[in-house]
Amino acid sequence: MPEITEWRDRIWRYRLIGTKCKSCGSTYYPPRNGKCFRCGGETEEVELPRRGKLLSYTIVYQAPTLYKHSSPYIVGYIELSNGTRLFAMLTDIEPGEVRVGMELEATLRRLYTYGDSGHIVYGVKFRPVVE
Amino acid sequence: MSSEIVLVGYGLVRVGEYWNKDVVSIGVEAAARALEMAGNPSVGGVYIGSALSSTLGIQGNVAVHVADELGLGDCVTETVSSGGASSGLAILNGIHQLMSGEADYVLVGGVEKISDSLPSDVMEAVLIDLDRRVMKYSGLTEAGLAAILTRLYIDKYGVDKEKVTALSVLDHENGVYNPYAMFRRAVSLEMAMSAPIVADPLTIFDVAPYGDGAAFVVLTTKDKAVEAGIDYVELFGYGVSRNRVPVNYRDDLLSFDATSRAASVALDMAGLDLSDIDSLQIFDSFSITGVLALEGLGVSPHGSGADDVSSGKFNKGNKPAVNLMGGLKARGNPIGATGLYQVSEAMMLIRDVGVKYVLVHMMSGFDDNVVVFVLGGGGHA
Repeated sequence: MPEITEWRDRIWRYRLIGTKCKSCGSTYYPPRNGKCFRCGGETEEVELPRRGKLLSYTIVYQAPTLYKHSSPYIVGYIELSNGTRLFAMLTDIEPGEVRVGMELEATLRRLYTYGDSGHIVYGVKFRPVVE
Repeated sequence: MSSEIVLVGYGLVRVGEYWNKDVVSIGVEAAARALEMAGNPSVGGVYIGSALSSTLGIQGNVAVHVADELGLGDCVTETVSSGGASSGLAILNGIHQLMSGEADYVLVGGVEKISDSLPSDVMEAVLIDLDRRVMKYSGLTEAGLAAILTRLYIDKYGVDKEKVTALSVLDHENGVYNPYAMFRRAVSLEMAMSAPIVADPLTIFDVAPYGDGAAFVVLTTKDKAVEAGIDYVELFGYGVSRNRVPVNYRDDLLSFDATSRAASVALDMAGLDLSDIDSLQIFDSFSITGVLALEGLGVSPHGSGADDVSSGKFNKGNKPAVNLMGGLKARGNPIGATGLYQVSEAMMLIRDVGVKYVLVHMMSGFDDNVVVFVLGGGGHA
């Protein structure tokens, strides 16, 4: 697989950048160019809030090649504090501790490494908020 | 439809693992059977759906290769790729060529070769047809996404997971009678629930197995079929629709809106109501996607699909009966070819079992790109 795609996506992936509609205020992640799909308005890139809550989740046992080293791992369906919904891996938590509705925060982590080149790909994972 | 489109032949290989054959060989085998049943007409186009042949580096441009190995003369050859909707779009291309008057007969098919690649590589390849960025950077797999939908469904409607998995049990019960099915044995709900976990809470029985496959049908117009004196099944209507991708852009992950729209367009074209349909062939790539497809089609209200399946409402003998040939779980899921298995099975149900109207639903991803056909009637020359 072409690793250039990971490099091209790095900024929005590291900084949790999404798209916001200038008219209706809808936000979505990952970001994309073009008009807002809800109202057709102009859009801009924005940094998204790094806190949210868990809507649902799964524990992946059969992993694709790049994530084999992490299996089993937890992937959450998360709603950020401004309503943006996304999928991200959970970290610093054991499967038995996961609860729908729990508060989470974004943290930058290693996602996977390409074996031949040694290219390490970083991205956002979410961990439980410790008050 | 302006011209009446009919199906005059089908050819399949049983879904499974063909270690000693390549994607073109199994394609040629199935295509030759379909052409033979149709009386070996001269075709003006060959349209083949294949989701992964190119991605997995197995063989690109398969339509050209299959047409050449079949020894066909000059004709349009086109390979179509749109995940589980590939077959449906190949059929649409064929319909359009017939309706334009450019061809009298077309050969449409689907081929997929899964067993040449490692399962973890296949798992990665299928993600390409979803949103690459969403899936790759979250570690979400196709089964993982289905698992999240299942948990959302269970939590929202207070349904036991057993009732979702009941669809896989139904598939296996029906698949026993399908000679082309990958698995021809019934399974108990207990066995399905206690099987190894793929992505919590899904077990291997909630996930339709990928397999090698090739399925072809020959299309023509009713006039030509009658003129040639061959049996036919009529294609009364079709509909196509897309849902928002990536899926997390959607307001409600549990609403298969594209399935609803595509079915409604197809039924309108056919001049039929949903209540006229005797049998549904739904694209249950996972138990939950099958349940959500039933709700999207409108045979069950939102939140009732799993209840209806588990209470036996869609079992054989009822109207509508669901996945009478085993669905994706028992027949197997040769992704880009699956839709043509569904259509071929619909032809068998209409021709051999006397089912009057069959609605066939196929899609890529999770309601991403949906194609629906309404088949039925038919006649003997």
